[in-house]
Amino acid sequence: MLDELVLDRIEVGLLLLDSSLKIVRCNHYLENLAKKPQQEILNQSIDQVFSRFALPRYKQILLECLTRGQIRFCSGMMHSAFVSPANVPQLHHSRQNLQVRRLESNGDFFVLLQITDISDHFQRVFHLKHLIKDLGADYEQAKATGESMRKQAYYDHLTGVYNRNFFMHQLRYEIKQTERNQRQVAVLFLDLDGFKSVNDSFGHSSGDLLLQQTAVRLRECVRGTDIISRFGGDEFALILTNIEMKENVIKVAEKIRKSLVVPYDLAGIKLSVSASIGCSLYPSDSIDPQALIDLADRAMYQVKFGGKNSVAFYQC
Amino acid sequence: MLSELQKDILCEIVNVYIGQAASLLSDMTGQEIRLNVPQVLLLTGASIEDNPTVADDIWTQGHIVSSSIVFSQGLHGKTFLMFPASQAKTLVNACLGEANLLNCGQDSRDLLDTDFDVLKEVANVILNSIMGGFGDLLDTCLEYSVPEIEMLFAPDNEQRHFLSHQTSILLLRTELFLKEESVQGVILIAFGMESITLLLEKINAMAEGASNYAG
Repeated sequence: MLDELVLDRIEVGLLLLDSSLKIVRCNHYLENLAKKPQQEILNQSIDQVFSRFALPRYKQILLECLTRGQIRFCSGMMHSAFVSPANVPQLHHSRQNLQVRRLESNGDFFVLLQITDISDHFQRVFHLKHLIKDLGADYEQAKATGESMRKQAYYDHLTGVYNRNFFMHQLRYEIKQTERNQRQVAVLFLDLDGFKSVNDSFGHSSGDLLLQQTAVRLRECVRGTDIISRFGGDEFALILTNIEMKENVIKVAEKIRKSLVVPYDLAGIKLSVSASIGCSLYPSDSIDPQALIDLADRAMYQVKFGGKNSVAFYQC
Repeated sequence: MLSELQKDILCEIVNVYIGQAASLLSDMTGQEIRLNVPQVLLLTGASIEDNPTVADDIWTQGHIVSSSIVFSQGLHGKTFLMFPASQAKTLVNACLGEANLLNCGQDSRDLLDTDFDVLKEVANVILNSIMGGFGDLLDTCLEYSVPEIEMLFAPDNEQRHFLSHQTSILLLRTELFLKEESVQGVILIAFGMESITLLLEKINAMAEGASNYAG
């Protein structure tokens, strides 16, 4: 009697099958799980009462257990539920672990099935996994947004070179670095000659193409460590770092000027422009970043008034 | 130590058993899983004393997920399937058809207890298949314990020490091929003295049969 009581009180569903796979015993927990009274379960073939066991793979597990005595564990994570309430389709989130083992009594073999319901646990794991997935997606999105904002904050969207904000930040940084290594930093201020007439004659899309191709040519003329930025309109400013002599600045500026006078092909429209370039040098011209830009800007205007398409430092 | 012919025979036998396990696993998971045993070693206390580093290349660094079954009656011993914990999550996710979350599948701390259930079943299928096969081969019945699973951390020298305490160990290096990845594992079968004698007699008889056939 006590044995019966224990079997009915444990929180595991028990089924005992004979060698013909008929159910000869089941406990109270299993009845509750299946929502079936014992009368409908006992002396029935297991596959008739619980349809899952009509599948060949599960029948094979039971037979292997009977013939070989092998204990078999089946995870509810892979098999979902083995026993579901009568006439109710298997619930999507219902999960049960199954352990199958052989018992021998007086020379007869039996199969003992122990079914543990892990549905609640599975639900928690399911939600946890989705939470991690959602957090992962949020993280990726935040990362992408951060990257996009960083680009917007530092780059000129039309030409892909740096913008004015980044230029100012980087000029201050380069000056600080140069204080330590005793070298010089140059600022070049560049304005395309006749850019307005390109816009007026061929439209803004051609003007945009011209600015993009100008940025490409600028990149080809300077070192990877130099900074190119678009200040706005057709104005570009450059930082040349680690300068040894003033003559080197003129050389680079001349290289740029010559590169920009080569005719452009703007989606079939061929035209030529030139550039006026003003230069300033830290620390000989000024140690103040803004003053260096102003001096290079003024030098650029001196070039413009002097006939354009040239390179110069500011002359008082 | 096994001769090359004995190794070939064992490898072939085990590959048949393990092929059956792979078929069961594929059926269960709905995914193609291939399994093979590319290396077979028989280690005895004496062979390990002679050459302590004989099985060094099979040991894995750090945490190991180990599943084991004790067998008795016709043969006596204990069999283990061991995976590096770093690959266990990959195996679980492949079995459940899930992708690794946040690329966090390489850390043993990511294993949930439901993941251990999946690993326990995978090991159960593989070990049952091999031990059932050996039972059939020797025409004997085996009695099995409930499979157990645990996470171990054993430095290399302790893993080697484990070997020296067993009488004879049949060591099979396994490879599980999942969709896009392969997971390396090790199967250890620690046989009692009588059991290994029985097995070797059978292998020798098969080897003799093979030689006679060849002759």
